[in-house]
Amino acid sequence: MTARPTGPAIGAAVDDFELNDQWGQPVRLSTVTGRRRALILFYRSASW
Amino acid sequence: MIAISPDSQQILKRFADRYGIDYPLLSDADSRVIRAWGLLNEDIEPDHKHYGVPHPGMYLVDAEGVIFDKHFGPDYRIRESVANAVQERFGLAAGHDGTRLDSGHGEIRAWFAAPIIRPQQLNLLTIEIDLPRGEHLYGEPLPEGYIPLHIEIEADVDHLVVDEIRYPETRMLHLPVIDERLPVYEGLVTIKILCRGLSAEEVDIQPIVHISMQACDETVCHTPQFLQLKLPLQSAPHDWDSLDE
Repeated sequence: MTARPTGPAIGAAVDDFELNDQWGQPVRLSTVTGRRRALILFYRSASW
Repeated sequence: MIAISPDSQQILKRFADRYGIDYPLLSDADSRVIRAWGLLNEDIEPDHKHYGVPHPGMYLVDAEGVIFDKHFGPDYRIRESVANAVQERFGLAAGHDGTRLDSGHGEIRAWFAAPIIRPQQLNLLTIEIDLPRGEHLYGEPLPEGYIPLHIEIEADVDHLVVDEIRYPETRMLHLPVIDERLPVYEGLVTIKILCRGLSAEEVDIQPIVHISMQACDETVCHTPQFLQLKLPLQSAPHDWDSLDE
């Protein structure tokens, strides 16, 4: 089995994206970072 | 903090309500962002019901959208312990269930790293004072008559103890109106308070953060302020069952 991918590297600029949150509201990454930092957590599931 | 998974909005809403999560849980239902970031777990067959999940991990992204740190390791499930894992790895708090108020001289935010504290467990309390541009607060030492930034925590001594209050570094600022150089805090002022639990009783501790401060700009000092923020925090015994999960 090959090494697991870990996505973009440190120093990479990430593309903006928009997804809906738990209340059905659209959330754009660039609005979250704004003038502060953001922590983005990718996880498998909220139900298992 | 934002968290992304392929779960539907309904599942995320139910999860957020159950655990009191107020940061955004984003629904990447067709895994397009997961794919765009190269994180799709392709060890899972396309016809499997879990197809679409990412390899789990975390990124820190700055205000310009550039990644400045990342961590991939054991699988992260979102539960109370993630708040502390994030705390450990990145020295940050997950912004879990805090309090904010508008002081009139910037927003003040306060939160514990986790909503529950157990005997001898450390829980970092972070206080942020977001000062407007051009305004500062004073550090110490100060001449007579000035009010430095000062934080105290009021809580039942049987349930919570404060081990240490860490103020950020001050900068020496020359103030032309009084022709003096004084230690000041500017911009986003972050104070970290190391708290420790003492009791296995299940109690609502309700600690109160007392902040005394006096916001000044180059020409004038505003009225000193004495503010209070009440924070949610519960004490509980150690959860030995969860170690086996």
